[in-house]
Amino acid sequence: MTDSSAVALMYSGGTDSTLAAVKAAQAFQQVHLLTYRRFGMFHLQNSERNVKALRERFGQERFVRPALIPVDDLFRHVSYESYLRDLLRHRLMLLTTCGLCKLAMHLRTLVYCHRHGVGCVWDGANRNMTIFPAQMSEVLEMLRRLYGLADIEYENPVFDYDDDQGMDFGSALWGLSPARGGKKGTRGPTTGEELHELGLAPAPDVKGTAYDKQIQGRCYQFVLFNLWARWGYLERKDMARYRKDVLAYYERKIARCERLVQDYLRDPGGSRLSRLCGVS
Amino acid sequence: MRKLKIGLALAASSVGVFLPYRARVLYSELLGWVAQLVPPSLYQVPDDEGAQRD
Repeated sequence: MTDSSAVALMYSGGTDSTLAAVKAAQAFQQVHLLTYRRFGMFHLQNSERNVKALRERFGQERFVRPALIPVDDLFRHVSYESYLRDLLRHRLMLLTTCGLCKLAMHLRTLVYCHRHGVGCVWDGANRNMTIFPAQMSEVLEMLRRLYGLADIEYENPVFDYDDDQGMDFGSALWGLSPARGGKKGTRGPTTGEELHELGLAPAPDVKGTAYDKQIQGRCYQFVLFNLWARWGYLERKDMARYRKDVLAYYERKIARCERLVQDYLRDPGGSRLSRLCGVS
Repeated sequence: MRKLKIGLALAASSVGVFLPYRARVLYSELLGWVAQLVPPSLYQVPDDEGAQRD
């Protein structure tokens, strides 16, 4: 039995997921803010800063905030299962670390929702982050299918917001110092602007600033992903081909995740997925 | 310069793809720190989409 008055939000603490949390607090009675941890992620406690601001705005009771949820075993499994076969077929697409990490988080979110009776999942996916697999509309559809196996709805409330960085994200210093500015006046509102209007951000455009680094964790694993995708791939082939290759890889990956989920739903306590989540 | 970028990326990626989980994380961290020493002219992307370069 799922609770339609509750939503689980994959929450990093950044502007996109914080605006998604605002919208979730306006639409649901209870919002579970889920933040994940694994080896190589640092300063995740930074996400507490906006959790505190959200609670001050919407009330302490509106948000459920579990401890940081480990996804090491899940991420390792998602990244390295069928490795040789995938390497021969998809080659360096296996370095799309950010997409694989997000896929592990989705699996863990599905299990969390199933165990807590939460019927809806939201995240801060945004269409402008075109290089990231887990932000591509086709991949999001595959994820909706995955959640559907457990009768869980999956939505992306800030997907259509604009973003001044867009494709430029990660282009400077392989993402360590995101490119900024340039498109104002020709686009719709951004998540940062809306948060600023709500008094939940100090400026309309905070992405890539020191403040941005203080509100969420940091992870350098997208450096290798960016290096390969930008220099190794997009310098040789176009974006349409990149999307096609990403989708081919994630179609197979998510199909295998579907089998994991089906096994879990048959035997929640004794399945491989529950062991990978550490909940068996 | 373009060929150098592609060569560097493919060489670094070819190493990274064979590393196990934790070693790959540390390798990526190392690349992150090295990236901070790279002059901006090397990493700036010349156009928006990275498309139509062939």
